[in-house]
Amino acid sequence: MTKDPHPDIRFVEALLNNNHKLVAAIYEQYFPRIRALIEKNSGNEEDAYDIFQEGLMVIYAKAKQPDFQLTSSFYSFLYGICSRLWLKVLRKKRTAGVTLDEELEFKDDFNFEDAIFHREKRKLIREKFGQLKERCQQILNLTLQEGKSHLEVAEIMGFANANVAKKEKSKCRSKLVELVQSDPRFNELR
Amino acid sequence: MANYDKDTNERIGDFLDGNLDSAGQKSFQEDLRKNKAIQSTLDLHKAVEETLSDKGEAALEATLRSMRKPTTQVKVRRIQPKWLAAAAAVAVLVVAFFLFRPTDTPTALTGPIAAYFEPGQMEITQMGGNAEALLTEGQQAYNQADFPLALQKLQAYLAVDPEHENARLFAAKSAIASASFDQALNLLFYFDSISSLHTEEVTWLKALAYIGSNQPEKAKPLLSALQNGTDAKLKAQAEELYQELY
Repeated sequence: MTKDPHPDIRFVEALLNNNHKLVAAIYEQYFPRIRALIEKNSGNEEDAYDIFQEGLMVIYAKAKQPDFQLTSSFYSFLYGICSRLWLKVLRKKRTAGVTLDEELEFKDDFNFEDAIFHREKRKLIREKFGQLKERCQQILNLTLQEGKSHLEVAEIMGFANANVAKKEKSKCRSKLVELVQSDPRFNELR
Repeated sequence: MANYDKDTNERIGDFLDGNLDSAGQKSFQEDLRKNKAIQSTLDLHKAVEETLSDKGEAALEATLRSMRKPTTQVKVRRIQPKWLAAAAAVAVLVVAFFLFRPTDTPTALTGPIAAYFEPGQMEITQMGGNAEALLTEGQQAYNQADFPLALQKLQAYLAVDPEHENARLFAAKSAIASASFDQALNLLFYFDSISSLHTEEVTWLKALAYIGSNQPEKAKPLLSALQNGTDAKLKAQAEELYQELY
C-alpha cells in the first residue's frame, strides 16, 4: 500500500516549480529558525543566508531524483540539511568546541549526507562545464538545455549529418565526465 | 581499471547514446555487472545529462538570491572604513575623557584669560547625519556650560565629521573653558590648513590657549595681528590683553 505524501511536499514542489509565492513563504516561515540555529553556533546572519539557501538547493537537487519521498516535515528535512551544511563549514574553519544545540531524530532513514553530496556533484558538474571548450559547451547546451535534435545541432554547428552531431555530443559529455572525475573533490563526494 | 579511463567514458557514452551494436551492448552490460567503477562512471554520465538539462536549478538559485535581504553585516562592510574609524575614535575619546577629565567640572578659568574668554551660546549651522545626536548633545552641554562634556561630545562628532568648522570652534572653546589648552590648540591648528570665515576668532582663541598654557610669547604676535584686524570687538579685546600682558 502506498503511503500518502507528507502535506509539506507542497514546499518541495514549490522549489521544483520555482513558485515565487511559496518560496517566499518558506523564507518567511523557516529562515528565522535556521538563522537562530546558525547564530547560536558561531555564525552570523550572512552565514545563515548562505546555509539556508544552500539547504533549499540541496532539497531541490534531492527532490529531482525519481525515488525521492518526503517522509518528515519540511522543516525537519531542512533543519537536518542546514545543520550538517553548517557543521561542514565549521569543520573547514576548524572551529574548536562548537556543537549544535540539539539533535534531531527522524522517523525515516533519509540520508542527509547523500543529499548534500548529490548537490555538490551537480555544482561540480556545472563548474567543470564552464571549463569545457566553447564548442563543446555549445553542443551540450543545444542538446541538453535547448532540447535540439541531433539534426538541428548538425545544421547549427555545420556538421555533415545528425550522426556526427550525436558522436560529438557524446565526446563532449565524456570530456566533461573526465574533468569531474579528475577533480580531487569528486573523490571526496563518493 | 581507473574510473576515469578515456576509453571507458567513450564506451559509456556510446552505450547511452545507442551507438553500440547488439554485441557491443551485451558485452558492455556484462562489464557493468562485474565492474563497479564502470557503474559509477555510468551514473556520472547520467548525472551530467540530468544536471545540464535542468533549467530549474539556476532559476531557483536566482529566485533565492532575489529574496535575500541585505544583512546588517553587508551594510557595515560597505561603510566599514569610515564607521570603524569613527567608532574607534569615539571609543578612544571616551576612554581619554574619563582618564583625563578634570575632577572639578566645569572648570572656572583663572589667570589673565578668565576675563577675556566669553564662551557665548553655540549655534549649530550644519547638521551631521548619523552623528547628529553627538552634535546636539555637544551643543546642549556647551550651552549649559558643561564644557568637559561638550568637549567630549564635540570631539566624538569631529571624529566623524572633522570638517565641521563650528563644531571644531566650539570644541576648542570647550577645551579652553576646561583649561585643556593643548587640546584647544590642537583643535585650532586645523584652521591653519583651510580658508575659514573664523580666522580672527581662531587667532583670538589660539592666543588665549597659549596664554593659558603659559606661553605668552607665542600669543604676542597673534594679539598684535588682531589689533590690525577687522573685528572691532576682538580688536579692542586684543589691545586690552596685550597692554595687560606685555
